[in-house]
Amino acid sequence: MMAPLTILVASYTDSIYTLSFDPAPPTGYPALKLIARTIVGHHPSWLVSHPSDTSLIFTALEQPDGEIVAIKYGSSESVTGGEVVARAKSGGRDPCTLLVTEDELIIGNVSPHDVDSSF
Amino acid sequence: MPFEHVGLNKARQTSSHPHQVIFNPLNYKEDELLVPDLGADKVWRLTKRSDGKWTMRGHVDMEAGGGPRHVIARGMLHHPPLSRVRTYSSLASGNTLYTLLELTSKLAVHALPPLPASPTPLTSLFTLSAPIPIPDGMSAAEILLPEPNESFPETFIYTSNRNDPNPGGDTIAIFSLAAGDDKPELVNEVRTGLTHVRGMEFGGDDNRYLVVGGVEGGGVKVFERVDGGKGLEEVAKLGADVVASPTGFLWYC
Repeated sequence: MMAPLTILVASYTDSIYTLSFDPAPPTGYPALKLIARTIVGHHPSWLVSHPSDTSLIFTALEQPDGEIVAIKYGSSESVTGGEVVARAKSGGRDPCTLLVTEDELIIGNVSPHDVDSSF
Repeated sequence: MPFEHVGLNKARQTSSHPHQVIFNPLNYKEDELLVPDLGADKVWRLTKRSDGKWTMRGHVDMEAGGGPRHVIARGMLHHPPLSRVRTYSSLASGNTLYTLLELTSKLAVHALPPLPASPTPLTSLFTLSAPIPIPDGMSAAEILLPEPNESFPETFIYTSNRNDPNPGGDTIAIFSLAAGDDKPELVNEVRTGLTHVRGMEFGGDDNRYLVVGGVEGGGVKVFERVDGGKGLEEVAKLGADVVASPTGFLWYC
């Protein structure tokens, strides 16, 4: 029997949403519920987690003055909303993709045409 | 690091548009980035110089006007994405790049040998069983390949389409690789009831579930893989009044 699963949702609002998906609740039908909403800024459209700390989530604000936001969430058994712990410029306009390694954040700014890596 | 290239589509390709950055899991010798550039019709290949800066080492050419958005690289040993296990010897054959072409709604397939060898185009096919003539306002968005496991031993590629004029919403195309890694075949189209499916991700035991979002309508839905992965069945949903404009997902552990 699968325990409830947590899904984080990137969006074109100002928030990242925390959802709970229960494949086999007592009611018998799989259920999807909103647990929390974390306001981070304009259009956080992509999410990645840090490779060795999966509770540290990075998102990019897809806006002309692109920004990266780091958000800390709790343990998977009790996660609700997250707390913004850091922000930085993405080095370009409309960052829409991120790759995170142990010590590097690689950002695709879709306009204008920049891939920036920053440490 | 600036990208400065143009493509064929006058509306969408007046400049470079790097849309994704992933590690090439097939490169066992060094870190290599694959960057699909929607504006330049290329997937760039980058590695690090001795001074630590990323530099372009090669590229994969796509069909003019195709607009590569997202890619998956897959080798014969079928490593999970982002794995850089160095105990395996480098394989020169059987490495495949699957590219989702946003502007033409196509899946392109290339042989992707190790750098500095050049890639070879193998085939491309539509992500719609009945494509409408370009320009059609549609745009493909996401491509996923959940690695086979005990529950789902066959390999399928799932791609999302956007802006379908059908009142039933956008479709997810399902391709089988039963005929070979270089021969995907469209075996199913699932009508999602969502509008503008930009993001979707597999999760749960054996990657059994697919969470999908409609940026412009329908909210969020979870589908369960059925028929060995050849099909998807909707099992849960949350309306757009609860989660507006979902663009991407992360299954949180």
